[in-house]
Amino acid sequence: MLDQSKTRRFERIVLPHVKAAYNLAWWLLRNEQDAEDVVQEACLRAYKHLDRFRGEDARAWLLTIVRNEGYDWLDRNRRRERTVSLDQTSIDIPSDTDNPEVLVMRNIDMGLLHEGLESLPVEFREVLVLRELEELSYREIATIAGIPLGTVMSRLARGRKRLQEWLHCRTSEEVRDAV
Amino acid sequence: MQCKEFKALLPAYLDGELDLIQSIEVEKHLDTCDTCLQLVENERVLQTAMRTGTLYHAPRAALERNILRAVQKSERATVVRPLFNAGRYPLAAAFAALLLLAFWAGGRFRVLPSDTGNIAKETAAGEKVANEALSGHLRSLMVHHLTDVVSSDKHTVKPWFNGKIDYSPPVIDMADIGFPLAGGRLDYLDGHPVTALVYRRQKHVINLFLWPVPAPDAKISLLSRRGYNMITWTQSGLTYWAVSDLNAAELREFSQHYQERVVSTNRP
Repeated sequence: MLDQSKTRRFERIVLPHVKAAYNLAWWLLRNEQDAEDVVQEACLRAYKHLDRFRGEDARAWLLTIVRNEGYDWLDRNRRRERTVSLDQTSIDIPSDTDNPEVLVMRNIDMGLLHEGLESLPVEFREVLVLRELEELSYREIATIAGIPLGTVMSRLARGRKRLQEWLHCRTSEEVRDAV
Repeated sequence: MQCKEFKALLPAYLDGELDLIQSIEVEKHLDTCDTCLQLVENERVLQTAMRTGTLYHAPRAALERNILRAVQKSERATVVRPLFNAGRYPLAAAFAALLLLAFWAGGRFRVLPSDTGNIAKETAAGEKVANEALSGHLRSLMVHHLTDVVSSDKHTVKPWFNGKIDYSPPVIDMADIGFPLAGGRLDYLDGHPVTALVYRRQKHVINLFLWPVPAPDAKISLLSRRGYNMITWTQSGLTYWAVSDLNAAELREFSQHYQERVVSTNRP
């Protein structure tokens, strides 16, 4: 016999956050099939441990599980090293300490922005996705990513800076190519 | 505030994670510094672009159905093949039952008798204040903004609040029992500015938030959130929240002495 009340509890607690779970998984793994697999694994795990859920924030709880599953997946498939090398080749810009002049950001090409976020190392990508796409607080992000609050703040700052520099660089390249 | 300090606070400012005082300081700096203002503008342009929704990857509609199906399948699998059949191993079953009982009893009786009657009512409003008090505590540790007035002398800390709040906070000296005062600051909780007094116990920091409430006195209640202990009580029209990573027993000791000392200062 199926445990109907547990299934209903699962539908009520976990299912509403599948969308957020998938978005995070997509940004960790950067493709649909792997993201679906990871979300499904995470949901099964959440179901298995549903009695451990004590009524805190269900979204943060599910996202923590998704993140763990996602990192396991990345470890198994050795994609993390590739992320780092990609990042090193694509972002090689002097920091603004050498260059006191402040860039001015105006119109942002969304395609470029997507590409830029994809090319960031996973530790920056995840905090940016949790903050800007899920609009979670530092405290929630710290819990999900298992890092101190100060680290959340510094990774956000560095991630945003890298994105800005990347956009600036690519945009001026395009302008140059057009000329 | 200098540009360097501003840059350290910029992400927290952008994300609405600063307290009232810090936000005011940041805005004062922005009024005078165009370079930093441009930094904020850039961050806002980026933030707005990221939040338009184009970056959000939504799942296929089928995903939810697939998940439910997978869950039901896993449930069936465990029902058909129970991992442990008590009928086949009666002694092991009895032992397991004893263990369970021991865990249950351990869990039940670990609560101190004095806690049982007055663990804070977990109402929605109480929960919100508890979360805000914890955020206030964490924020104070995070952005090097523990104190606005740094002093271990209550006669320095207390006057600092004059004109900043419309009540007189009882600033109690607790150094003789091992809780030296480190200073105070203004914070923002539950929709109004509150007094935050900072005490130390060795390496631990205690944030004591207090503000006036139109409520009768309430005894000490202990809560625990994400590894932090919180004690709240209401006394003579002020509500108190002590938040720390200190263990519950010592935080309770701190709160009880504080409460007693407030009573003796109020006595004519």
